[in-house]
Amino acid sequence: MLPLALGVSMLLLLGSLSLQTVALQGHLEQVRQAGRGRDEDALVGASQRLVGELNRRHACLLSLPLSRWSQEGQSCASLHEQAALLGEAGSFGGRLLAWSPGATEAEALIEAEPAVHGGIARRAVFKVVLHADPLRAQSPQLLGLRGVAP
Amino acid sequence: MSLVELILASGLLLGSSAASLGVWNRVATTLLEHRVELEQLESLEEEVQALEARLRDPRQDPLGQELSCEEQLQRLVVRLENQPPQSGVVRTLEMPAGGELLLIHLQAGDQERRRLYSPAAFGGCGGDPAGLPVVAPAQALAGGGGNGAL
Repeated sequence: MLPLALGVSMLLLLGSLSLQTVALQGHLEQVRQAGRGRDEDALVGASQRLVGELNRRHACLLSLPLSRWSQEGQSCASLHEQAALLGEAGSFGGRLLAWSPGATEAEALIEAEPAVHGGIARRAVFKVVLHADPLRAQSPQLLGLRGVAP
Repeated sequence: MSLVELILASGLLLGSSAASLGVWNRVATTLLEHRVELEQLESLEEEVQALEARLRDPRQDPLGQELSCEEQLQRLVVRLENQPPQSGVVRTLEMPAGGELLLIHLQAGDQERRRLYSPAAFGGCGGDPAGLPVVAPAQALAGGGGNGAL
């Protein structure tokens, strides 16, 4: 009788442990999904502020890849202003890591700080439509998120 | 089978059953909470997607036409106010930074999303003639190759 009771008790406890594992996985999934949403919001906000800022004050940079900004972009953005866009705490709430203009579109790679302290910094690629006459960027569209190890 | 063995086995079974029931009860409550939170997150995500689609809908008044940023901002607000959020989602609009930005706060239960939009990022306002390129726009766009960083 006692061995049977021991066996049944062990089964009950193992079942409980499995259920708790399932609950923990559900919790982790919920936390991950909430964090991803917040990261996406931060990156979209940063892209909006960046493109707004470029349209308003630094339109000459729109047609130049990032590597040429410091040489050819000073007609509309001083090096100090460019540093503010590219710095650790960018003036638009993120960091611009790459700007790659084509004939009618540009791609921007933006990094935002993690939404949760100690989380993973997120980067995202945005597609921007470029219009000529006057040169403007329009409606940055999120193409995808990328996680970055801290 | 002695009486002592019977009492021990019964006690063991009762104890493990009570402990398991407690764990199952807690797990069931937690799973229910997670399900509600996940549903709230999904509602918010759907609302964000609907928001993006509404703001980019080409059939609506074009946001890219030449207007002041304040007028563009009002168009954004009107466009959103014409379509209320889905049930269970509370949407509030704020205009920080002196009316240059539109912050959309979405709340469903304990979950929230915050989207920031800049009217200037839609390409129709805020242009500064001093910021335009010195070369012709078509030439400026054609000259912009990728920087290979993406």
